[in-house]
Amino acid sequence: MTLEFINLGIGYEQKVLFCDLNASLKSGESLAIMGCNGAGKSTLLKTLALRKKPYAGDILLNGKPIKSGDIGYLPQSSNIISDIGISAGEFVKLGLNNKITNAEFIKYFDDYELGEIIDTQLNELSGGQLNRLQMVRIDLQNPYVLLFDEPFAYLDNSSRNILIKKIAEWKQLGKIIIVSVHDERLTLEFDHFLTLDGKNALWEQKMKAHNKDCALAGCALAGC
Amino acid sequence: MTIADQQVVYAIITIIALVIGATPIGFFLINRKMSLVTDAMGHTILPGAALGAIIGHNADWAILLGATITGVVLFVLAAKMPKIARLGEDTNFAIFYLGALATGLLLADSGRGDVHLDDLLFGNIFAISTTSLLFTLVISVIAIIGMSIIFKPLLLDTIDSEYAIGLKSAIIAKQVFYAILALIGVAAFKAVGTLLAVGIIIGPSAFAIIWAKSIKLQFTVAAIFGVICAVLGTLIGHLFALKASALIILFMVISIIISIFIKNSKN
Repeated sequence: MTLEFINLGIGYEQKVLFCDLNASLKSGESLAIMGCNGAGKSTLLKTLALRKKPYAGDILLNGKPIKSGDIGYLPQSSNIISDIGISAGEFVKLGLNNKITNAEFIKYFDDYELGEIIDTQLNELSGGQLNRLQMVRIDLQNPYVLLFDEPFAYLDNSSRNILIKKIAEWKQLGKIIIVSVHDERLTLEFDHFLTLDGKNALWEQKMKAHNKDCALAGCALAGC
Repeated sequence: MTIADQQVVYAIITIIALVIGATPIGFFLINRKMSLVTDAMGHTILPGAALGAIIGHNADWAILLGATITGVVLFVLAAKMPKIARLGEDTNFAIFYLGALATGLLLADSGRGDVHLDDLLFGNIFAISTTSLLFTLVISVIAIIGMSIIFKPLLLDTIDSEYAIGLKSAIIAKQVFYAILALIGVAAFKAVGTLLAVGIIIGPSAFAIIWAKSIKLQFTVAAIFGVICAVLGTLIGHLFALKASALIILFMVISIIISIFIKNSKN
């Protein structure tokens, strides 16, 4: 399985964030998108998630245009209207098209430490639980490509650890993972790096040794 | 059965079908914060209804056909209008509604045909023809079937718009929703008029949201409450020769206001 960017450009008429990106990711590979605020990390992820049209070029999965069923996407911010009268389980099912058994469903909730709250009303959940609920939804969709927009910026510690563990699992399963990060210390485990500066996109295969040392040091400081 | 009896029976069947058909729509309008937008957009059916009345010599089918065409076309167009920054979705809707209202007024007041602006704006539930009755029944069935088909993606879009943005299923669901909304608006306008149509649509759901927790229960409460208000308003209107549409809406509004106060004092 290969995810290819062919002459990809993203942005808006008034502001093109980069163009002519040619790169590819294979099964089990991960990509960290880095850059300052406004450099286009979220726009790129929205484009990859088919929530926005590319400015130019194509995104191909195995040579064919990628479909929304191939993608699991966790946006950076969510303003979920939680007081509408549905439970956590019902909420997750809204985003699912594939059929799964009840036992499987419960197992996924357990994986994210949410087994207790399947039948809890959405508005009784904490912020952290709501975040993990969105991860359950993506995981259950069983997509080929997983996209996370700055998850480490807003996830609480336990959610963060679950996500890190899950990313390793997904890589084992051969999925492609793309995550935007604002902090280099968090990019240690990634195979590819894409740095955006609002005009250009720089693709690097492996982190430079220097960066790696910094990242290690940073990670030690952060205590992970 | 006398003519008066038949009119009451027609009125009650029409209003029950309307309330039940409109309940799921009202739920989404309220949760999408679109109650007032819909109120405005209800008027888009006016030019078509007025034109239908002129061309079809006031025949019901011509008025309904005209109203349906302009209603659905303008509603879907307004929803599809590109959102220009600083001119939000609500302004887009307002522009369409104002244009439609002005055109409708121009046509209705042109002196051609015998168009009753009063009936267009406030409805006349005791003048429901067999054509209107059948039309309402068909639209209500279409609305319920249509809403049950788009329920999942539309609910996802309503709860989690950030996630659903750009999703094909959500985009289609929204367009179908607007079309159904326009159809129910057309069906409602003969009975309660364009000005009060939105009351029939959102009234029952507004009441239900106050009292019921789960969505299923909200739908059930809304339908029962709506039917009670509708039948009561129609019967009392008939008995005392009062405007039934106004009574129905007033029953709903008073119940909702009392509910809000009771609920508020409990918290």
